[in-house]
Amino acid sequence: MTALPVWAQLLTWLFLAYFVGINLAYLLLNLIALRSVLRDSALRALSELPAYTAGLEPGVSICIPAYNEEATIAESVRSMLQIDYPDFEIIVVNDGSKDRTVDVLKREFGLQPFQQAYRRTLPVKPLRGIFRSPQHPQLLVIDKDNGGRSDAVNAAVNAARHGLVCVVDADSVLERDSLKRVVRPFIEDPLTVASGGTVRISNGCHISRGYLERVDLASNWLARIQTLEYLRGFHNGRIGWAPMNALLIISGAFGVFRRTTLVEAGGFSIDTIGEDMELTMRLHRLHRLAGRDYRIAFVPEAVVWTEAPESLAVLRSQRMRWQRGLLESLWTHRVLFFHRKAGAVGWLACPAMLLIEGLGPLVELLGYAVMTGLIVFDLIAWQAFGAFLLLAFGSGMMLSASALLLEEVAFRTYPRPRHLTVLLLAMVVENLGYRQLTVWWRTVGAFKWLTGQQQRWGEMHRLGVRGLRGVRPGEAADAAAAAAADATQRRR
Amino acid sequence: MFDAISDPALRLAAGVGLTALALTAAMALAVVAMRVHAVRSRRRHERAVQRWRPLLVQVAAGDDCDPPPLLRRDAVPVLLLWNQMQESLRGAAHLRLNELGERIGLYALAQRLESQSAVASRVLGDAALGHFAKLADWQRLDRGMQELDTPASLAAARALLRIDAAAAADSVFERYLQHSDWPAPRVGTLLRESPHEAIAEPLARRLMEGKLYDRLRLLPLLRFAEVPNSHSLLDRLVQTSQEPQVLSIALRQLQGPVALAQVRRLAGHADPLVRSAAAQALGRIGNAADENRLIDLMADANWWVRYRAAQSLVAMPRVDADDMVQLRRLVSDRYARDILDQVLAERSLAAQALAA
Repeated sequence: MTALPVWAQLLTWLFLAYFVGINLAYLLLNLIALRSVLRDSALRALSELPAYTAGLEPGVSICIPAYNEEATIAESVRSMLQIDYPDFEIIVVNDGSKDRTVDVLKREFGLQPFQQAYRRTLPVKPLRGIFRSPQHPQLLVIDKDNGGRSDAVNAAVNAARHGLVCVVDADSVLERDSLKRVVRPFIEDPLTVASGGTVRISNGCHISRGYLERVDLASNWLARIQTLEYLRGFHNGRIGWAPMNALLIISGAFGVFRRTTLVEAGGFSIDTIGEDMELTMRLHRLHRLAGRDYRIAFVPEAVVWTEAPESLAVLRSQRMRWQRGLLESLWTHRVLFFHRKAGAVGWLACPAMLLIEGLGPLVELLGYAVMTGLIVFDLIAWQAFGAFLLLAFGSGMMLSASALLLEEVAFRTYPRPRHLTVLLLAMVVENLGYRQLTVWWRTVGAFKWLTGQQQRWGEMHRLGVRGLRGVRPGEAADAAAAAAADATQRRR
Repeated sequence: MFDAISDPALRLAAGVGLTALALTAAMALAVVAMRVHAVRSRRRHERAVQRWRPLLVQVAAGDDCDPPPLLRRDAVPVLLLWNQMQESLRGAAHLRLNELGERIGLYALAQRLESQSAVASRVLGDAALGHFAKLADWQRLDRGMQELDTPASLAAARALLRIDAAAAADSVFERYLQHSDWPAPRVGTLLRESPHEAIAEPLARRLMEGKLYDRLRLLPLLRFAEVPNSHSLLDRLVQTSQEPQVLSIALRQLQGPVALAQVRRLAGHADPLVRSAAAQALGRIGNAADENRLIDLMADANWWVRYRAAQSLVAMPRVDADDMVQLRRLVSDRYARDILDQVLAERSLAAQALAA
């Protein structure tokens, strides 16, 4: 065996330091998350305490951007109309669909043209018409020229009558009480400007007429692994960051914003691929740098269900977009990094996000490549290669296990022993190809962002009652409506 | 380097990897163990409730019964059940359950739970001590209220208000103002459960004498606590306050024609927050003489002022559809016409929905 070159020694130490650092950071986040979850779940058990927020819920405008949703939009709106919440309106924005989305809405809900004094507080593409339903006075439909998801949400925000705006994807399934739960931080703390909930994978679940009837796991391993990934992303990451008021993303699939703050921030950006993360970071920037008190909350028990891709092509496209969205948002708000006023956001969350989610795939990929090269050229012993794999896989599985532990402590969403067995197995299976593929795709996504290449939207074949609107499980930007890659060429 | 297991980097990598795997295995086992434990404890809890519910109901109804000794493992589920029942009981039934609670050891258990560090235990203990309502627990509950743990301090405050609302009110307000962690709706609910005469006076005093921050935090309590006869207090606040935030919150709660002159005055306030609240208030307590004022507000520069004014105008008594058609013709301001169109369309849709 020849002597190891200096560059290879340095790289090896870098990988080691990186993995150890990441593990320590995640363990710390896990402890914070566990503390928060243990406390909340113990309190939830005291059901004899009166539900003090009952009757105090502020009005909410639910904004649903829709593009080519003719197959599912009526069902989605019907299910939203029946959520358990005392005062809400639903604003569906048809974003210049090429199919019959708006005709379906007109037919199903008997929409009539409505004379609305529309405020153009946020600039949006021209409107074609505004409609209301006599049967459902709380339903408002805006038909507009195609301008992208952000433009559609902004159009809804302009028309919103309530002080809180809830953004939901047209193909997501809200649990009946999710809105009540996610709004609670606004009732408890007037400084709350945004609040988000957990996104879970609906593949395999029994959904009927827009309602989740029974929780189950998909039979497809790709979806099963994503179920675990989402648990990891939401439990390990978001619950951990929220107590520090350093949550960097309120998911585009389900998030509530104070309308005045959203308007003051300029609404959703139409120029970014990960507009939900970009907006969340903009809210932090707006408040932190101005020295204003605020809170961005996360409510893990407020759940929305969304379908994950079961084909590699769509998954690839989704992950590349997420990585681009993440890097784009971090770059846009780079001023937050180590800014003296940026607090936990600038000194902890942003650097951690860059190191773990931004550079992580590249480091891991380099690790695989370098270690393979070194073993091929007989520069290191097999034990070293084995130790590297042990470190990489062991740390990945540990994070998954801790997410499962949090899930078991606080939520127990997957009730059957079979579910537990499958998820524990997924923890191992994930390392046998899936993880390496996503690392590769994310690295390509990062490269494309660096070189300024445009990305084409892939095509998503709908599998269940609803199509895909991907939401990044980790902290990578969920590139909004991401895998809503149900159209080859999408908005804008 | 990396050619022997004795190499430090190799040993570190293998060590961290193995530790991670060991932790993974431990957590996986913990998950399985917790699932088994959860299933067992749920069954145990159900059995305890099944055994004790009929007994508690009997005692509450005044029937004689000889309760069995409370098993240690059943104690917390039974205390939960006991608390649950006490929430809906008053008078003699409440007292009979208190007596039973003391006899079977629930009072001692509540005291023990109150002194534990786990927040869920403290909340449960405080809730029970509030039902037992013994003055002997005042000190420990007062200490609990001053702590910075929100659920536990709120539970202690509730218990204090249950024991003696008049004596507790001032310190509850003090704690509420000193720290911002107590949500106003929650405190309002606690106050609503208490006798109004005990809380109305200290609340009014603090509202009139407090600084801006105190008044802004206390004002919502009037609504959440449903304090009776708060109109005169609000009227006085509207007359004496200058701050737009105070004025808008007060205006939203004003009722009755006594305050009408103040509302009319504030319809011309420089701050749109106040004008919007005044427009809404005019819809509630105004009369025909305010129609022109509302028409003027419909041409306001702020959308919300226009919208609230149009809503108030359309909702005014004696304003019918013909009046609206005529008004629509007379209004010359484009923004006023647009907002009136919208509110009329909303009313028409609401009428259609009602008819359907």
